[in-house]
Amino acid sequence: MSHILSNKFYAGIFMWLIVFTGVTVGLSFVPMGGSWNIVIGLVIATFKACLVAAYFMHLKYEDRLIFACLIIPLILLFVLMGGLTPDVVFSGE
Amino acid sequence: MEHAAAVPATPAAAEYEQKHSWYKLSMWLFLASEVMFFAGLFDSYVVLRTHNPEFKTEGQKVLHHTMPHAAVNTALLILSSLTMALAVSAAHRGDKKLLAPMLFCTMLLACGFLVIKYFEYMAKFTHPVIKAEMKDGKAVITEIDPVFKSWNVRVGDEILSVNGQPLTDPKQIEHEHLKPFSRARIAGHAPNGKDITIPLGIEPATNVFFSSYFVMTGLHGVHVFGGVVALFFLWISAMRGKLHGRYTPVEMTGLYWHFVDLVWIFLFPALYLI
Repeated sequence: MSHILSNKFYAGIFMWLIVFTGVTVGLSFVPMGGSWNIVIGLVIATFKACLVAAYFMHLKYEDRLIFACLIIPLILLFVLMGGLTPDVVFSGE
Repeated sequence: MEHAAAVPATPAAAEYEQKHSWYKLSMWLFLASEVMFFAGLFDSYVVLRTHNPEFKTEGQKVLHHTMPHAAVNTALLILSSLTMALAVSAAHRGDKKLLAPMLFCTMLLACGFLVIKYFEYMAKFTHPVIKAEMKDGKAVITEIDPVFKSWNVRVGDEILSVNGQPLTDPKQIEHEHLKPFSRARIAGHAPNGKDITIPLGIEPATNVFFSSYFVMTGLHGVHVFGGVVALFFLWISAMRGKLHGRYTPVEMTGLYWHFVDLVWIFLFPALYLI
């Protein structure tokens, strides 16, 4: 293993995750006009997920091949969701 | 595969690292397929929510009652990710004193998650959804929970039977509500005329939102349980000293476990908050 992170560093990441969970819960009680609640909630969730992936899962210190294993399905996911969107939004009921 | 730094000390160590790299790539490929699995569920949730405004009003509003349970569960899973990361770190450093306790803590926190989830589910399965009164010898609905908004049931409909037994005492319905997966048979409306069977409690059959909710959190719960099983056997191995010098099983289990936490990090806001 090329890089071993200190236990203190892991504890720090943990604290940030808990803080952002609290922020997410708190902000859910603040009405920001429908769509903004969703956007902010997902942005914070994505940031937390990136912290977990980069540091707990060591993705930041891994080969680019491993990063490709993760990013290519995610790109595919967004392409598929995007492709479905016109059908979903204008489902012609 | 090459590493950025740290030349291995011996040819045996280099061979171990080479094997470890292949295990790691395989595990990430598996996680990529799991991403697609949950992504399909998330996308179906998005599509269904676009067309069912009841998701927010008759779905999330009810779910809000157990939001504290889910918030605690989120904290438990994040803490378990920390203990898992510490266990992986201990395995790499050969720290025998920290490895087994950290694996045990991770397993314990995961079991805590499942226990709270059990209570959350039971609270929903036994949630009272209709109130009844006797009128002219017939049991008649006096109140219906808003979750049944899209059902063809109205106040004043006759309750023909509950779990196969006719309703003779309206207090009986409270008793029947405490049994998960109870069913009530309601007389149908003309011109349709058909009788309807409604679930007495909030369960997957109640409405589209709860169908999505139980499938998504249920499948995630199955993944958590699978992780608990894996962690249990890993902990036993650590206690028996069989993981000496071998960090691969710990790291692979760690990757899986962090993924399970990652999914919950998205599930919690998507279902409960936004």
